Amino acid sequence: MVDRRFLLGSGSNKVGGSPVTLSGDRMLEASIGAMATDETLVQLARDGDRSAQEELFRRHWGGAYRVAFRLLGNDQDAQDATQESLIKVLAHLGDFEGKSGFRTWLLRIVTNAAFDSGRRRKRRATVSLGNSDGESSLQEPAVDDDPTLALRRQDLRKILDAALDKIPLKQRETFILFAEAGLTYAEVAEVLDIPIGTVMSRISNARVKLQSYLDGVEGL
Amino acid sequence: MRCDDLTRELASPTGALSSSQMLDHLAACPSCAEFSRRAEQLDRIWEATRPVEPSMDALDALWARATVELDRIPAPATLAFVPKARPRRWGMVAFVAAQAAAILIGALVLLDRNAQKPTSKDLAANLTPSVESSEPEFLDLKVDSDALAVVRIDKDNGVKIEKVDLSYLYNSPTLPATPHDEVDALEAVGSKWALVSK
Repeated sequence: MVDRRFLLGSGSNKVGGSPVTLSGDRMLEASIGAMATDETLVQLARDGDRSAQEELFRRHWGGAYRVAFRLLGNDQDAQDATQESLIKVLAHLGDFEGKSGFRTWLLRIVTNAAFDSGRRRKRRATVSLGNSDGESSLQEPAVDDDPTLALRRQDLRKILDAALDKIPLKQRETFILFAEAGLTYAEVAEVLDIPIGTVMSRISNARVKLQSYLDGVEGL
Repeated sequence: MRCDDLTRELASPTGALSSSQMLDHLAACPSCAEFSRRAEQLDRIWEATRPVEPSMDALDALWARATVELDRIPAPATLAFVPKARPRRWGMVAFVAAQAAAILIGALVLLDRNAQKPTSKDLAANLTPSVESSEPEFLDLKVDSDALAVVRIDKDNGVKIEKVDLSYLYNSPTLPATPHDEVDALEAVGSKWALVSK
């Protein structure tokens, strides 16, 4: 079965400037969708190709959500910030100049949305991960998950979230972009519009503080 | 190797130190070994608490909601305030602004005659906002002078010639160090706008 995430769409599409007929060949669609760069998809999406928009949405939703979740410490707020940001980005692709990567651009919007959301609603002290079982509403229940492990993970999230809450906002967002989104120093610098040296010192300071707050806490 | 080098490398890796160098130091330095243990502990906790990615069904639902929103948006608009083509109805505002700029420059020239190098405070004191509009607008101002003005264009407050801040312009990396060329246009510099030389 072809993974829907990799479907670029049916019918004819232009990829890299050349018309490619995809109809009747889902494998070809899948491989082209998977291979298509963000830049290609952005170009197609900008021209109104809904399937390219969908591919961008599916490709980046998870990563954007993870950053929003770490920033906000709350599943529902993170979902809202991610959804709002992706819709905004897809609706305004005309503004994307391509100077930075699409992902970098998106994460800048997500970070701003999370910041606005945080201002509207004070960052919640306790972690809510969706439903009452402590799992995100986004995730299908894992039947084989060890309940003890799940509870331990939930506890750790609360402890880590409390530690993140203690460090200054600028250090927190810089560290999260680096550690959760896996951005390079240069990419973080681009997202936050600060020098690389500042990125490195913020990450270093955040890490030292987090390590100190989490000293003695056992991992899984 | 100094302890600071190692802890800095552990806290924000650059690849400047080799693994063997670091391992050798850690084996001989208890305080760095403790720092390293804490760093690994943070990494383990971070990994163990990574937020879950949405399931395929969840993504289907999220995309369905997104398409409804996207269909509701009529036409592409700009995300941030980026002034583009000048609408015709703003021609009058631009004309008035140009007049105001001419007056401004005249005042600056007079000031320049009185004092060889007026301070930004002196210049700012002689300026009053004379043009306002309710929407963003790009203004082309032709000015033959060595004076530069910072103009604020704000969605809420309209166009205002706010102040002259030579030190700000001199220190700006995007602007010429000595503003003696003909001023050509307004250009965004952070949240402000400045007259920029050709």
